[in-house]
Amino acid sequence: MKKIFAIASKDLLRSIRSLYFVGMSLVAPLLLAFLFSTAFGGGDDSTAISNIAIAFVNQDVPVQSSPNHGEIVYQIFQTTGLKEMITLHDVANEAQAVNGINEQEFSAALIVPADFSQAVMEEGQTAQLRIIYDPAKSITPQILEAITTTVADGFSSSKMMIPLAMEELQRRGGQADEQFYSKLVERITSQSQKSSGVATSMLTVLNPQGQEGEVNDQVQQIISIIMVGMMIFFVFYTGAATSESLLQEEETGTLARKFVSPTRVRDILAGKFLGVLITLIIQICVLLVLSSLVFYIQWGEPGKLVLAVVALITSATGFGLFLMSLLRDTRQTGIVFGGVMTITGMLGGLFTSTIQNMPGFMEILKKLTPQGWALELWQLVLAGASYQQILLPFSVLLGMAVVFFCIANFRFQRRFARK
Amino acid sequence: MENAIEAKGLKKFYKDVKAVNGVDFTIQTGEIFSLLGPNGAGKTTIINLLTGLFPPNAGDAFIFGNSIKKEPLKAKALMGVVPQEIALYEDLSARENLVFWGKLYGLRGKPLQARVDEVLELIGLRDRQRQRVSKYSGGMKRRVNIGIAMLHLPKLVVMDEPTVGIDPQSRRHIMDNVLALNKQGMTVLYTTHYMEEAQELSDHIAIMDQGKIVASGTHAELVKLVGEQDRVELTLSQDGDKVLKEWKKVKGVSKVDQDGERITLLATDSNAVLPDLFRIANQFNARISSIAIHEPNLETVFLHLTGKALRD
Repeated sequence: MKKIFAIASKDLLRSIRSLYFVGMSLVAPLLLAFLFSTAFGGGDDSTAISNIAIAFVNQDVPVQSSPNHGEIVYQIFQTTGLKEMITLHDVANEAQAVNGINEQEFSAALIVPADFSQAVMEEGQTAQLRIIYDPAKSITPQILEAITTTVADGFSSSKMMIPLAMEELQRRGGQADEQFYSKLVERITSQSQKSSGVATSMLTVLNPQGQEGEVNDQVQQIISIIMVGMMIFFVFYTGAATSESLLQEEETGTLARKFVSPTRVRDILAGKFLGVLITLIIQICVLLVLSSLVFYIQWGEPGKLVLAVVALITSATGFGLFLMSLLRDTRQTGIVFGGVMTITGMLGGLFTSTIQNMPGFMEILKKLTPQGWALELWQLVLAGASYQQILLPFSVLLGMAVVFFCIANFRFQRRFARK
Repeated sequence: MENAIEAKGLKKFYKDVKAVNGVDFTIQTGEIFSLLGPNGAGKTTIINLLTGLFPPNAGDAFIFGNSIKKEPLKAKALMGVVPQEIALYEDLSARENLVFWGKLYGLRGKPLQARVDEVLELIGLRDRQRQRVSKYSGGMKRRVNIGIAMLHLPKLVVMDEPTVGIDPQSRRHIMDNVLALNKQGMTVLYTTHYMEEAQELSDHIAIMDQGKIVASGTHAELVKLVGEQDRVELTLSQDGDKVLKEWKKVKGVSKVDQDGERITLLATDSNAVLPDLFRIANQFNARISSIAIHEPNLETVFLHLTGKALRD
């Protein structure tokens, strides 16, 4: 057992010292995390996923005796939870807003058209808000769209509910003024946001002040799914890369030197396998902690998270060792890193994890790869699924890990014994 | 006295190639035993069989009485192996390498650290022990390569061509190390294709060719095999097929071997045959551009036994 640990700790030390390993397993995911953070308008530690600059063009011309609904939209964006994330900048007209987007001053523009109030007040008309966005930014417009959709839903609800509320108020002898009306719309819209958020929440999101966000859930959902896909891809990649050391050692003669020492072949292989496993544990811990710090993601219940980590590292180790056992030498590893890992990652849905309703055959292909099952397991854990719900993907991953490990062990044992 | 190694009928075949074809030899405890032969003679294959790297097709070897087939771990624990190629972790320091390999030989804790210090002193790398091996010269790497084999104070050190491709100074250092290890009581099995190394180091020498041991004994015993023959080395300035054919017919010439312009032959009395050699060369308008006459040595023995020169 001591020899197994000696081999594993030596491999770990070599991995940590390898620039390639550090680059691919730690720097690359972090770099991507930084890019995502930037895409969300962050970059400053204290303002992660916040302060997205949006140009606000209010062209609304209220009808007689009705409030300015464009102004109400503005007020809604000033409510707690939203104002930390989105900063509206008043802009005189659409042309100026577009100019600001072109100048990178704003990520997008929210346009309230001149007939907005009229459309809200009158039956049979459709009220519309328009978004103009920078095509180079793919995520910010999604955030704005998600929020604006919620706001618009609130207006739709208001349109139905407010006349009834006003009528009831007047029946009881009350007087409805403009302030009362505005407050009513704001509250209905706010309630609509909450309902929408609760329904789709997969994560608990904390804002930089540590308070629970109200509308960040959808954003966090996107980030977390991307983060999970990225993490699974790089963990599998690292699993294969560290397993490659078996082939490297075979070529440099250090493996043969181990075989002539008083150490059993099975202990040598166990040491190598354990080295891969420990390396992945360190990698995944670093990624989990850093993504929590950068994106304020709470990764769910510890027990389920441990199960997800165990399933991920064992399957990535088994898969990496299995792939390497199929190769003759390190000159062939390009096929694994450039081809197999990328293709199985794609089939597993790691790069398309945010797209809903993928074609049916893609869902089937997903189930053929360990990455696909890993993605499913992690998504379930993030969504707060029960132990019963995560049992299937967890078991499948462990099963795959055992099968891959056995095949790799058999092939390596045979390879080193047959000379 | 107990035998350090006893090889019995060792055979190793690769498809049609008989890498080792029925080899028997015995190495007594405390001696330096050299396997001498050209590249491809089967020396490394014998080392690989003895160290348990792979099993023989037939035969067995016993390391201090332990069968390498039946008790490989016991046999391996008694050996320190210096592979032909430098087998080190270049991204680790010399000390880290030694500590790791020491652990594989069962050393732990303070005894391991103390032994690592001793070995670093012995191989002259104490001052640079924390530097990564990748920064070392070829000779320094060779020394670490040897140091690993000495860590657990083995009863037997097996060295497979440890001086290949290194500078004369490092070569000297290694040879001195071999003699020092032997003085400490370690038995040494040494393979080389350098005749001078085998001659200087060995108590016993086995000459190998084409997977077989063709002769074995002390240096003096082996030289006696060729009698009083001189080894004559000549360089011909042009293609000498016809010249060689005639030289073989000269009375007193027993073996003739050619490698490009370089020709080696054995002659019972070199003074007597030289005039005939020059005359024949003149007949075919061939010019002898250099000539050297050597007293009988292991090179002469190898030529005598195999009809081939033992070349680098």
